[in-house]
Amino acid sequence: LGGIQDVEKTISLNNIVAGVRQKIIQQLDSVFRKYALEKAQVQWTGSGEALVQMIQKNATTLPLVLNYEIVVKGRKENLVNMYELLFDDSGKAVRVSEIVQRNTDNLDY
Amino acid sequence: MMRVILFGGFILLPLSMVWSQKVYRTGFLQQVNVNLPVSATWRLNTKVESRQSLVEQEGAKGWKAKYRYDLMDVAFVLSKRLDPNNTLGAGYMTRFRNGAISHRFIQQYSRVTTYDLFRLAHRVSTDQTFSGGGPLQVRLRYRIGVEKAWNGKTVDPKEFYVKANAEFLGAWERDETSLEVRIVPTLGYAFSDANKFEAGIDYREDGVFSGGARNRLWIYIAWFITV
Repeated sequence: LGGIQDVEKTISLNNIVAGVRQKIIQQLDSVFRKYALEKAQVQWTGSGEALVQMIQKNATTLPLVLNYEIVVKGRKENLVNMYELLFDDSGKAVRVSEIVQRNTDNLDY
Repeated sequence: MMRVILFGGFILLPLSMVWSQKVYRTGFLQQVNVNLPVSATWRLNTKVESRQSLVEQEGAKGWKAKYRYDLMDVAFVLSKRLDPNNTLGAGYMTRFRNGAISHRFIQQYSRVTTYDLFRLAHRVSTDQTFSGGGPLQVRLRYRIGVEKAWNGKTVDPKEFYVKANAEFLGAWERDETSLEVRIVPTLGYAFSDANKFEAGIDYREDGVFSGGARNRLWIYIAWFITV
């Protein structure tokens, strides 16, 4: 069996520290002509012991990496797609990737 | 085990509805859907569907085994993906039935939303059917569908899934209106994201509010492929 690799928890953007939140919003504004927030998550990465402590006590003294994962429906170059953006704990964008949508033909027709 | 029981109930519900009423016709319905991406946002859906009746019941008479090739439909719908959730489409269908041909124009809007554990689809469509010398028939349809992976959160390649559609069809022909309800529970298998096979039951009841209910139950088989 595999070990625990990271923990993700759905949050509201308002749960993010104001300065970091502002930085994230500024970057979203610069990347997309228009966007709608679909989901925001806090993501913790670290040792299994640290992650278990975060789950149980929402705190740990062990090393832990905190990132924010934001999913938006955004318009870029006239195309609207779903995007997943990863920000570090200071609000700096680490990764922007387009989410490949699953085929919907059996639900549309 | 619970999933098997739930799916069994899911399939048996329409069957029990049919057996509790006077079934008019039952048989097979097969469908092949070939989808061709035309560009990043446009795609062409080609659908060939055929129906064969095997057993019929008329009025108070008992069941009668009677094979009949009911019809074949060939449809083309060109769709524009507005965004990841919403799609607009328009198309044309030809129906071959008893040596006669009818023509149908189709307009549709569909919305598919992905949730953590399932996908929810809404489809609103209108169509206008012209048949040789017959009156124009106009329909307004609404369909809601749910798709859920048999195991896990999403339907991955080589995995089973369950899907259920419920559709309500209002029809206007001359001065008459009617309502038809369709319930289609299916078990699907995804060979890949672009190649899916579904089998289940397609139960239809029309004349819902007019008392002249006609019930049809088809063993439904469908293949969806994107090339």
